[in-house]
Amino acid sequence: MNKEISRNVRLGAFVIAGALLLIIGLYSIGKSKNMFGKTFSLSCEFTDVSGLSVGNNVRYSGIDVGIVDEIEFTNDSSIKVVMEIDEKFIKFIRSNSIAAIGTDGLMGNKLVNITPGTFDAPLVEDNSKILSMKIVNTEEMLRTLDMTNRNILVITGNLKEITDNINRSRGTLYTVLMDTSLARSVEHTLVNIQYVSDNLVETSQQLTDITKEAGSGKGVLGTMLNDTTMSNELRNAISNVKEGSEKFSKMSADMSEIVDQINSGKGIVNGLIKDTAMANDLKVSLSNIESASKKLDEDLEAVQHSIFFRSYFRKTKNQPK
Amino acid sequence: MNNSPNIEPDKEVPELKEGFFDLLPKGLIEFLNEAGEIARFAGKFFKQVLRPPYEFKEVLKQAFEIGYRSLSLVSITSFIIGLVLTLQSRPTLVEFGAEAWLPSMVGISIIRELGPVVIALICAGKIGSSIGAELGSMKVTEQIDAMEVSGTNPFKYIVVTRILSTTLTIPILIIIGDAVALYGSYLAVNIRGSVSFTLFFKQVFDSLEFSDVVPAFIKTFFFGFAIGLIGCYKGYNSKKGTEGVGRSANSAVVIGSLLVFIIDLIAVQITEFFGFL
Repeated sequence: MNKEISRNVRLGAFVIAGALLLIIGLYSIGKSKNMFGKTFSLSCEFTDVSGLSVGNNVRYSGIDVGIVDEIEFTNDSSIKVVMEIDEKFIKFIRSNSIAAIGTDGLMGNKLVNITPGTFDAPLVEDNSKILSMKIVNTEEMLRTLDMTNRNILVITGNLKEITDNINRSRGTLYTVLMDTSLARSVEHTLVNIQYVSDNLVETSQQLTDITKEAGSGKGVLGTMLNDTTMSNELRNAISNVKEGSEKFSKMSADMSEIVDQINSGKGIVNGLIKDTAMANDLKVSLSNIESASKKLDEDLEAVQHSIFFRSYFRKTKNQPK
Repeated sequence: MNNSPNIEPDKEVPELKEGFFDLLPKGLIEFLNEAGEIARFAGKFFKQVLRPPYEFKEVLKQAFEIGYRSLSLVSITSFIIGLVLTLQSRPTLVEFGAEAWLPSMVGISIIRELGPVVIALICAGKIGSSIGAELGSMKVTEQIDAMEVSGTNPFKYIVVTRILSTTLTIPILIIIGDAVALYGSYLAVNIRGSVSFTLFFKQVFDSLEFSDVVPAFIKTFFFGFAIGLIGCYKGYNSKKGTEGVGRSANSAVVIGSLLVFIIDLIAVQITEFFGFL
């Protein structure tokens, strides 16, 4: 009898253990699917659900808050997704929250991600509807990548052609790319550019110093810039220069008029320049004047030695100058 | 006294069937015959199980002998399965950067398929052979005939109780085995990494659906029924003395294991048909 009781007790423990494990397992699964708590419904509409199915998770700010309860066509281009959300999250979800279909990890199950709305919007209610957003799916991404790959193929083909042409022609670009001496020249040039830039830096520093000094009123430039007396004098000088230039301008105009008159054959100067007969007459006259002056000189010499004027000349000669 | 059926002379007995079966290979005919016998045996079980008197005490005794006494073997085997499966899967998942998926993957594998099938195979080995050998020895030592003579229904007392016991206790063994396998997996995850007990089991249950657990649980009853049925059939129909006892035990294991796989295949098809996969 004792043996039978012992056997039955052990059998009972065995059966209860199995039943408990089954219940715990089923309860844990049900709990993770929000089957035992109070829930509320939210819905949104998508044009493409990308393989989302009933039972997939719903996440709000990255936390699992519920599951997808129903997926149905409302018309030929719109699919309504009804979500069962744990009631304790109703006080956090705003009516302007946005639902989007995503993936759990890189290769995981599909899920609905709800992005929180702004605080000024009211909270959602049971059976309310929220906005949805279309996410670029992997297929579209791959399609774009495929197009990019095709473009890259064309570009690499073109590049290959260009490099072949460069190698074949051995022109300037080939020389630029392959000539080592050119590279050294370029290097040398770069060194020079470096030197020049250093000098420029130094010069600019000096210029900065000069402008600082000028700004503070030191040196000639500073005085010129800051001394008001000198600036007045400078202004006067500029005014005088302006006046002189005006006079010079007028004088040049007069000279121009004179030259015009000369050119037009008026006056004696024109005759002196252009009239050869007059020039000859003048020449003869000068020759005559020269001979007349020689004769006059001789006559004066004779007068000095004449008896009437000898004493006068001697007196003037002895007087100090 | 002649109980043979009267056949009217003007009606010809159709010989088409006999001719058709004559064309089939002998092995196939034997196989079909065996299948038919097993089906009849199962039909007899269903007929007897509903009829009083009910042998509750014997059912409990057999449940203890079959279920409870297999617990240690099932637990150790399940623990090793969970541990090894996790350790073997981990490098591949690490290669893909999906180590965090290890609890989910192992959980689904064990609950859906590995746990039920492997534990059922172990039970087919241990329980099927023991039933086959026990009933076989009872048969060859004419204990069954003696029971019949003493007015006890041997089929009801021996067969029905054992089949009921396997049908009811193997699912419990599988549930416990699954739990132990998951615990083994949890330990294996923590050999290399560090995942808390709560997180591990949360990930396991998050990844599971009722559609994973319920079909897997339902098919365990069929595994239990098949193992008990084959063990009892082979033992109950044991022949050729003590030599036949070993043969009964052996064929009970082989056919029982084969039936486990066939039932699993059918279960998968049905599950898929109802959209649970």
